[in-house]
Amino acid sequence: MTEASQITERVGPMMRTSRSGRRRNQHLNFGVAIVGIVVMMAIFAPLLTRYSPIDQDFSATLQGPSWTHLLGTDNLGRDLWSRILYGGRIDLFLATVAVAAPLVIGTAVGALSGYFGGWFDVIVMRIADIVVAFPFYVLVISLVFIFGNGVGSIFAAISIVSWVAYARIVRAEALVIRSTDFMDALRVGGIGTVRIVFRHLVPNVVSQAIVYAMSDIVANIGVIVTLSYFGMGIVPPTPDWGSMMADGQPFFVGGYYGLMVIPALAVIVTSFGLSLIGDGLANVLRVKR
Amino acid sequence: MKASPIGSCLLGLAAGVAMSVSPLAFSAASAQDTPVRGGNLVMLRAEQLRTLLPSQPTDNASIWVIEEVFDTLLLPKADGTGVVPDLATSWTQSSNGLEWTFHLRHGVTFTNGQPLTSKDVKFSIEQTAKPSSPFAFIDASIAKITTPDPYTVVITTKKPFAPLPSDMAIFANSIVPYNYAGMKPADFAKHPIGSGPFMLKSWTPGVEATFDRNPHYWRKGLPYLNSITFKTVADSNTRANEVQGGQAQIDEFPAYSSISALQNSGGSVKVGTFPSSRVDFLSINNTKKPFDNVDVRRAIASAINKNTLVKVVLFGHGTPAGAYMSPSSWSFDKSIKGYPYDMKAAKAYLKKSPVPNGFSGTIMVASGNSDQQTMAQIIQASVAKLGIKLTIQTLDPSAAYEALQNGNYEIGFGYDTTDIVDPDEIIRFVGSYEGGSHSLYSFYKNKQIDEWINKAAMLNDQAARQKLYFKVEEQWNKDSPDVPLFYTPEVYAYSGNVHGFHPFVTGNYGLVNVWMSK
Repeated sequence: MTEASQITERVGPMMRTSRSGRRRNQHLNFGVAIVGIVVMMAIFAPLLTRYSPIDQDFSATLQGPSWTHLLGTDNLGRDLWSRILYGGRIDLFLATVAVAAPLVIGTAVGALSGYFGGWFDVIVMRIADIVVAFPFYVLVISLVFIFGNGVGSIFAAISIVSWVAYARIVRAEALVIRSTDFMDALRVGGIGTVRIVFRHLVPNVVSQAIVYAMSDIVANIGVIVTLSYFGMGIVPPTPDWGSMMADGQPFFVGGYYGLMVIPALAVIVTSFGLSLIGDGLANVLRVKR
Repeated sequence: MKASPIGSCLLGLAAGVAMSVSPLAFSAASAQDTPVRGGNLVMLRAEQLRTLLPSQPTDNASIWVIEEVFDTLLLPKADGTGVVPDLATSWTQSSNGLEWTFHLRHGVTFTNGQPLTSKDVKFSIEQTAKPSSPFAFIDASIAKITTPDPYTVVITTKKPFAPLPSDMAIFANSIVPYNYAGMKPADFAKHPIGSGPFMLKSWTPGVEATFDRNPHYWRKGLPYLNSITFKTVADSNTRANEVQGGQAQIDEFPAYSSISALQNSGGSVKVGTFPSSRVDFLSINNTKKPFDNVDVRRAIASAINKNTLVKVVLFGHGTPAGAYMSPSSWSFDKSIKGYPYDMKAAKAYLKKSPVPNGFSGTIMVASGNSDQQTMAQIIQASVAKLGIKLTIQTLDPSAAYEALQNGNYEIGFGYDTTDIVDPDEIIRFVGSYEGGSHSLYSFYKNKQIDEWINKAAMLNDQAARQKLYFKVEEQWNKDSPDVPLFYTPEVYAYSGNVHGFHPFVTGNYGLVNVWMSK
């Protein structure tokens, strides 16, 4: 491509690009603000409430919002505001941690698979096909059922299933990069394979996986909340938004709407924020290219 | 604008008529009380129908449907004080107390047109008496059944057995056609042939089952309803909304938290609280360590504040339990108070046990059952103070039911309602290993208790039987295999156009007498 053609290409849509770029940045800023507030609230939960999220108080059940209990209490007299804060702690933490393992495993496997090709690639990709052949939720729910409820098994179940997406993304990138000139140069230069893959290949292919990881956190929150809602996730009395919704549901007809609506709002707002970040990040990276 | 003066004029006229011509108003009111034929009633239930084979189920969701499809020789009275004729018009006990002669009603036919005779009765009761039937214990006293003629059945018992008439009024002894009309039991369970007021039209397991009026039903003019549909709706909000919206007529189990709101909605929904024999329990698997130790069980029992459970879970619609029999039965010993809530006593019991400092275990709840979830969390928090760490394990309702039956659990929740008016069934069901549920899933065995129960059944004198039952309840309370939690009424929410709905103390819906106004 000549310089001239590059310029003419830019002149036309330049105004639009920059304006929409700013808007995209607004998405990112807005998302970061929302998630930032939620994360801060989760981190500083003990400072923001004087109630334990699990202490029951049968003299103060099903109360409406007041200065003593900001969002009221549930049927066991537990402070709803505390439960939202501490519930966010566990949900966000688990969702983020559950992204780390698949990101590392998936990137390593994908990079090796893409770089070497051959029988290794065939085996890895067939395993990936098998995992993908099952609907995501069906597989995760079955795995949690086998491992038993709890934080550890949710983490394991998500990791077993979601490394595949990372492996595929990274492999596709690695396939392109492995036949580039600089890779040939490295090989000719006598640099070891391990060093090539992890020092030179991975840094060039990992950015897509990281963008994907942002949206994966949103998906994980969905998984954790859903599992807990069905009683298969985080085990009571540990508070969590999903089990709070399930616990609050029977009180809906009785007029205690907050018990279900407030945790639902917490999930929606947090997911909205994370989606904005994912969108914003993807767009920022796309503009750079 | 034009219509309004006419409207108000008509209103005034109507009011005038009602005031001046009172006989007219009176007849209008009585028309409201006269049953109308027709209507399709939909009942929403939390649990699903599992089988229609009378000899098989132990769950009320199946039992109460079977009672609408099949007839029994006798029927419990609605208030639970005795039995009345059903398929048998009269019955006598021989002077030696061993032979019971039942005279069958003439002209009763099954829905396939075949007449109901003594041959069918003998076959039916023999099916339930087979060891494979969970209710075999009900018929264990029977030595033989003879059929001198098509409309006479003679049941001979091994020993004099007072509860026999009551036992002939239980769903398990429902009358099915001889040899299941040539079907395999498994097929019959899906395509039942009965003589009751309703007959199966369609059934989608886990979703809904529809029953049409049996046109050949022997009580002429009954039932009033064209059809009844039992729909499984796990979510209590959906059930309440559908009844409020008119898509369904009866909500079998409204959430306790919603009762006052439903009562005050002022609209078309009524809340019925019917006397019941229901007793709720914390079931403890006595075969698992350390729950095999009586002091561990006593410690758990003492750590449960039943008043809190009644307040928080039932919203006051119930009373804390003492003895394991229901207060609705004459066998109920009100002097037994169970283990009062006392954390010091609980600690003392645990100190005496092999696990003085506590242990870890699991408490099982059925998913979607918020009352169990709530109780589990309250109990979990309370026993934690004793050093007992309970993990809440949520299972699908069917899986939870199976786990209870197979003893594949540590602590869970169970309840009972009696199916007969005599205490004999429940005193065995909860107190005896051979009583159908292995002492309400505790797998508790006590020979002494079995002896007393069997002895009581041989007596005709109610006061003497009562004494023995009190002994049983006292011994059971000492051993504390399970923890009786509370006694509750049966609560139903139903739309205002449903009339004559009055479930029995035994739980039977009695839908044969229900009708719907337009």
